[in-house]
Amino acid sequence: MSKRIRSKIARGSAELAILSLLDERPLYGFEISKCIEERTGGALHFTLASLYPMLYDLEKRGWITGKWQANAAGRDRRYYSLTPAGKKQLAPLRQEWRGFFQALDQLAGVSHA
Amino acid sequence: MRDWNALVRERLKFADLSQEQQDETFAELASHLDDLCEEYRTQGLNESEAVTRAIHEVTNWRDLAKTIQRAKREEGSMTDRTMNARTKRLWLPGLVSVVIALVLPPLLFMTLTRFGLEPRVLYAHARYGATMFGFLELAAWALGGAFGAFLSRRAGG
Repeated sequence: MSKRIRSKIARGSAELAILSLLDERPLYGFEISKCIEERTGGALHFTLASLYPMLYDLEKRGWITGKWQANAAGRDRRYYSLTPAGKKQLAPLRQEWRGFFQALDQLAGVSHA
Repeated sequence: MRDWNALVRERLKFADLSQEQQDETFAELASHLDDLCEEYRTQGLNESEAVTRAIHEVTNWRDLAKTIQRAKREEGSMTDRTMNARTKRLWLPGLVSVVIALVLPPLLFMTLTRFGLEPRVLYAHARYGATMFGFLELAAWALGGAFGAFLSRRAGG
């Protein structure tokens, strides 16, 4: 697989992961990376360097929005939440990935591997 | 306690971001490193090990600065993210609303005349003609406003 396709898949899956989490509740960057790691059993891991450019890009596109507020420990953190535009993007994105995995499954039987 | 903000400021050099954007980014990344360091401490690492591991979260600060800058910057010459968000959420929908409100009534008027509804005839029929064109105008304003609100909402406004 070419590097370009691989990076597109990585980017797309990261977008889906972030938007899906923020669809549940607003989270700040560190929480997002922790949640993704915990829920995927460590299969997906975001470093600071991979997470924030993605968050800023999603924010630029108007899919998420960030707002400073204090966390449970009273420290200021930038909480991200999904915008209506982001909510709208999430459904087709999920559909797209479902289709992608189904197609891959038909081809390579990945779900039985 | 380590001054993460100073560390991030020292390592992350942006060439083309407003001071406000830079300060916000420094603060956010510093808070992430702080949380990370604290987590390593709870896992049993000592202060120095935790700090070292947290710093290793970023292998190339120059690349990170470039990627963040690219992510925060809008395309073309309009480099101010806030201004672009405002353009998408306020000015563009406002312009579209005004254009619809101004262009739609004459268009409808012309369409009606094309189908043989001569304005003079309608106006000659006093009340109904005047009411009809008045209604068209009001409907176009409402439609323009609604479409503008839709565009603004779609852009996250």
